[in-house]
Amino acid sequence: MRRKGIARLEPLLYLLPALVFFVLFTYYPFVKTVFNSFFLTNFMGIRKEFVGLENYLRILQDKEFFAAIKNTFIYVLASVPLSVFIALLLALIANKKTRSSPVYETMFALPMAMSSSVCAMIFELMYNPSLGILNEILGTNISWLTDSRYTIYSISFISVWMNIGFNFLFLLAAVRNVPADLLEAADMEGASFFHRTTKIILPIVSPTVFFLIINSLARSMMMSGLVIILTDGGRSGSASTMISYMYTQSVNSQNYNNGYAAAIVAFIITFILMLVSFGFEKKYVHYD
Amino acid sequence: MDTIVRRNSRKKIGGILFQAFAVAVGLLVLFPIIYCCFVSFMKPNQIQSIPPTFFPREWTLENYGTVMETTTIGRFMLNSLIVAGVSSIIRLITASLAAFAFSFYQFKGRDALFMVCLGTVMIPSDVVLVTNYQTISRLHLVNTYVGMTCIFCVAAMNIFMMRQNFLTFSKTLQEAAYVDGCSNIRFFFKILLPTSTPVLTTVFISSFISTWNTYLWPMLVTNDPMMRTVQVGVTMLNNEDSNVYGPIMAASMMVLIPTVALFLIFRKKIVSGIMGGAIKG
Amino acid sequence: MKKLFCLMLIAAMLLGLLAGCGSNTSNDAGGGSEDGVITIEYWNSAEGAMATSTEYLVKLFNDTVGKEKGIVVNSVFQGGDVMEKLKTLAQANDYGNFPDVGQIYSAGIPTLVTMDPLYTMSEVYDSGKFEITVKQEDIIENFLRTYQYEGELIGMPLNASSMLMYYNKDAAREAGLDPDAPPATIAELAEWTDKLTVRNDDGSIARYGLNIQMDRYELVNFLSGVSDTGCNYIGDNGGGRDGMMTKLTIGEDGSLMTFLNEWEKVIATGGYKAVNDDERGEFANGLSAINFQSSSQLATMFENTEGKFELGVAPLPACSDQYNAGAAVGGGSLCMFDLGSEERLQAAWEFVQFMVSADSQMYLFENNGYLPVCAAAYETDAYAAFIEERPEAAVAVEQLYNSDVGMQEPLDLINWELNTLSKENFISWTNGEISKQECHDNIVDNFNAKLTEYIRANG
Repeated sequence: MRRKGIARLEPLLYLLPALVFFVLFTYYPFVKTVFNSFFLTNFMGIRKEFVGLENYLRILQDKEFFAAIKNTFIYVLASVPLSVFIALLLALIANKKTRSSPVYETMFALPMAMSSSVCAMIFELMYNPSLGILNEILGTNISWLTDSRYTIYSISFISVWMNIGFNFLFLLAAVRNVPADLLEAADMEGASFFHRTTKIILPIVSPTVFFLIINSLARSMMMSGLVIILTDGGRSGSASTMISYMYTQSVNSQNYNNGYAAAIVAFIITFILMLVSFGFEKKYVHYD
Repeated sequence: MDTIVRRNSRKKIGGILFQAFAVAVGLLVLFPIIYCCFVSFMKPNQIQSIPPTFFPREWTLENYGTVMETTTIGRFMLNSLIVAGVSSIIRLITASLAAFAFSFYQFKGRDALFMVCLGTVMIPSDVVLVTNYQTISRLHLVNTYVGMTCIFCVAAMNIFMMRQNFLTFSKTLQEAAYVDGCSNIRFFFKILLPTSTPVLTTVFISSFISTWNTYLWPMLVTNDPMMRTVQVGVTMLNNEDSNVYGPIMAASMMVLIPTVALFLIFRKKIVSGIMGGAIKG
Repeated sequence: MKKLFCLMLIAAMLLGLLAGCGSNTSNDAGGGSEDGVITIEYWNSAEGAMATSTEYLVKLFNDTVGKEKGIVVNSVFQGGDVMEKLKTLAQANDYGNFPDVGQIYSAGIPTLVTMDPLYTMSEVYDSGKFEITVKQEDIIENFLRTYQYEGELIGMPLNASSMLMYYNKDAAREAGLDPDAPPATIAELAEWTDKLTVRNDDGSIARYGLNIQMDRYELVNFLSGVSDTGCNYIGDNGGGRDGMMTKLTIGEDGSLMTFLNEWEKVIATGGYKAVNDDERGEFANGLSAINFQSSSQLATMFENTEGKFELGVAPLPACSDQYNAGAAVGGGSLCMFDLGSEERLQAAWEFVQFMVSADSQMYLFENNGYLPVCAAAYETDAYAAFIEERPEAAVAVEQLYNSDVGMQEPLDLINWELNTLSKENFISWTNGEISKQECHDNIVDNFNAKLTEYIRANG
């Protein structure tokens, strides 16, 4: 009887270290923020009066916040599939081991080593309409970061690039684990490259792809740094995201009322999206 | 005989062409970094000239000189190394234990707890910043490496990453281990972890890189120039009154060196298989 | 594998131990007195060349005055704005970790005055406890005014700059303009813009006459002279210096519209670029002929244009003949904090005085383009020699002497909002997307609405 009780506690024991850190440094402050979001707080973060849902109602009536939600989804759609897809292509290229494998494997993975502030600086220089190398190479004359038609995609491109290395690393390992006999059998049947990829490789690498999609999804939903550094949210907030909105409201305008509420709305939206994604896990992800 | 040789040599040429193609793709992927590298060797008036150029007209170490002059980048690197190294190792421990619980046990509330862990990814760091500072200052950990490190000691994505790996671990092998009288914790240390080296390495590298590149928190909890991290150094160069691209690119290249080295050292371990690292039973 | 794991564990523990030791020593270095030597902390936002200069001056202090009086200053870089960090500390109620001296921008003043440990310069001068070598009268009035709040001097001006007009003299010559008689009003600026604009055969623009993005900084500088009383406070309560600013006054007193009416002439030329893609770089490459930047960028502007064309430097044009010319002062100040030790306050004051002495200020002028804040610096031989070598540096000084004391950036509490509103509406107006009146109303009404919201939470 006693043994059984201990056995029940065993997994919780393994979870304990992680949970302690999560509770102390993430959920405790977050719960405090949720609590504060029902109050009017001043620039020092001190609660002044209880206002109920007022802060939420205010941001939900704010056109800028809605634009930010919409932009966030554009970022997700523009960057998540692309970064996983490009990485998969690179993994397929690198699949076969050759003498120069170490060289290009390293090259494909290296973007993950760059910090976002440094990436922002590099791309700022490349995107510069007159002094930047991008317009020079493409022979175009586009204001990549200040023209509201392009801003959001220019930023997405940077985040795609930053995610390629990480995604590649995982996909390469996964692709290399596809049993050779399966592929040979497919070759014997004369399967096309497309068929081979979608019918044999993809199912086997699905746990990896699932992880990468969730990971990129979470990152893109929380995207803010590049937007803040490079565009200030773009013209009329044309490039702002939920979190950059939160940042500009709370840090730049010292308005924690809007900022806190925005953070919590962002949390709820992202959480729902995650739950939906995990709904797909049982259906499309094969662990055996 | 002749045809075989010819076929072989054709295959060889094909192989070389393929490798050249792969390296070319690699150069394309690396373009921003290569550009950054070249800019770091340019004179300021070339960086700001029209038409923009790719190669330095005149190679100069001026920008690297500015970095050394303005910041104590060597010391910053040591600090970053300590913070990133320690927190990544702790992350390995917390993540592998948690992932073990999530993937090998059935217990009430398991999926809910897993979502609680993943939920932390959706909480922006700006929101928790002030309260965390308060916690650290109440614990008298301001100006310590412990204070700098402790918020980085666990990452939900690492747990998730390992869970995905553990889930593909062969059930038969696990059962065999239990039949042999292996206790849970013995199984974890003796069988699970050794077969998971690739994912452990990847978790280590990815968390090392992300901690290496953090800026705000290490600056917030320390007030000592001797405890600053590399990204603070990069920021110190960013001054709107002067031409900063050169020095910043130079600093970025210097900051990149340890991460590239780390990557090269562990590359072999990673690519031998991250997911499904276990021997199929 | 277990071995590897154990090894890692041991390494982690070792490093943790090491970290613990490291922390102890660093806590000692944090501040305090030992063997009669007082260590004080100076938090700064000095980046790039200013970082080098700050290190130089702090070391010089420690080697000279500090050695003599037993003071060691420990200089700590705290990111682009020290105020951000102080705010976090204050929010966490952690006043114990405050520095002795901090470098604070004027925008931080309204927040700073709510913090307990602040020890204002007025307190220093009024208490009679300090040995005064730099008197308040020794500092130029314009700079003092920047850091005054409700009549009290909060911080000591440290590094000051003002906005200047930079123009391409070669281009002016080619266009038949007198390069030594730069535009003195907005109307003349429009005329120059028109003549300096070069178009390609297909009608596209090869060189803009003028490139300036109307951020808050630019806008308040242009507006600062638009007033019948000599200076425009931009907002009520003396631009937020006599109490909390509650609204913009530039709408109701008509000054914004007066300025817009003039600026319309600039837009009408079609040779005006309202977006900042890289104003300085494009100007240096001849893609625009006139550009406005801070006086602290003088050296960089010369460096960038060297060998390309002759650079002209001029004061800001006035709105029109009937208004004063001049510019608002920008930059940072030194603020002191009382951490409960009389000795440390005294030490901090010694350091503040050192930093604003004629020699230190001349050092910042020569190396960083910051205008000396103390009158004595302008009398030195070093000043005369420097002006001889770089006469353009005198333009900013002249502009300063011509500026009304009240020409200041307002303490507008939510300056980021004004920045966004101004920038975006000027771009939209220039592109013809909105009318002049809409540009005006958007800026004034939206800002005032945001400010009301802010005051509700903070008033």
